[in-house]
Amino acid sequence: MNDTHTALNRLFSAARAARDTRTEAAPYGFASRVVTLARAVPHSLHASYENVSFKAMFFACSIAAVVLVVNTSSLVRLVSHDEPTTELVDLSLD
Amino acid sequence: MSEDQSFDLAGCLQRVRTRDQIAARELVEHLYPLVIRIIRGHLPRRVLEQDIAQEVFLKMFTRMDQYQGAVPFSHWVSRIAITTCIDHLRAQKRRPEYRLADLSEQEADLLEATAVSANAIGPDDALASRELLFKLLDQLNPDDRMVIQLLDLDQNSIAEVSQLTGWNGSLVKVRAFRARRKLQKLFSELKKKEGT
Repeated sequence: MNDTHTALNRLFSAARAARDTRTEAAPYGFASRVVTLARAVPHSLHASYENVSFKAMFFACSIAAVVLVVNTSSLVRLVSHDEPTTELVDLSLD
Repeated sequence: MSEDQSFDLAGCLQRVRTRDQIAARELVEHLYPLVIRIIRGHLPRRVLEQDIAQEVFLKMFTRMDQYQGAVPFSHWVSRIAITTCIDHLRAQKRRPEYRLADLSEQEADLLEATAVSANAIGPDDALASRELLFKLLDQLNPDDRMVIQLLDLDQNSIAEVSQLTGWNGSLVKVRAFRARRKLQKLFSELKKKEGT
C-alpha cells in the first residue's frame, strides 16, 4: 500500500505540472447573454407567481359562487319568513 | 485566485445592485477566468463549460442579496462554482470503470513509470498524467473526487476546502481519508490489470 501511495503522489506531482493553455477570457457576447438571462429569471419567477395567484383567486371565487347558488333557497327562506329561530321556554316551577 | 487590482469590485457590486447592466457585464467578464478555471479543473472535458459557467453566473445574480460581505466576493463565487460542479458530477449517474485497454499508450507507460521513480516521469508527461489521474478520479463519487482534487491536486488547506465546499473541517478530513483509500485501491487494481 505504501508503494501505491508513493506512486500516486508521483502521479499527482506530475499532473500538477500540467498547464491549461486554453484562453480564460469570456467569449464574445457571453456576459451580455448572462446578464439578459439574469434579468429574465426574476421576471419569469414573478410572472409565474402572479399566474398562480390569479388561478387561486379564480378557483376561490368559483367555490364561493357555487356555495352561494347551492344555499340560495335557504338564504331566501331565512330572509322572507320571519320565523323565530328560538322559542322561549318557561322553566319556572310554579 | 488572483484579483485584478485595477478593477473596483466594491463599486461594481454596488452598481449591479442598482440593476446597472454595464456593471453586471463587467462583473461577469472580471470573474469569468476564475469560474472557468474551477469548471475546467473539476469537470471532465466533455462537459460544455460555457453552459456550466452560465449556470454559475445566473446563481450568482439571483443570490446576490444573500452576499453579506463576510468573505471576499471571489471566494463566495468560487463556492457557487464548486457546488455547481458537484451537482453536475452527481447528475452523471454512470461512473466509468477503466481497464488498461482504455488507457492510451502514454498513460499505460506512465502507470509503469510511477512505480519506478519520480525522475521516470518527464515534463512532457504532465498532460498525460493529468488525464490518467482524471480517469482514476472519474471512478470516485462526486464528494470524494472533489475533496481529493481540492486537497491533493489544487493543494488547498483543510480550512480552504471547508470554505469552498461548506463542509466542516472534520468532514473534510474523514472524506479525504476514505477517498484516498478508495483511490489507492483503484490505482493498485489498475496496476494489477497491467501486470496480468
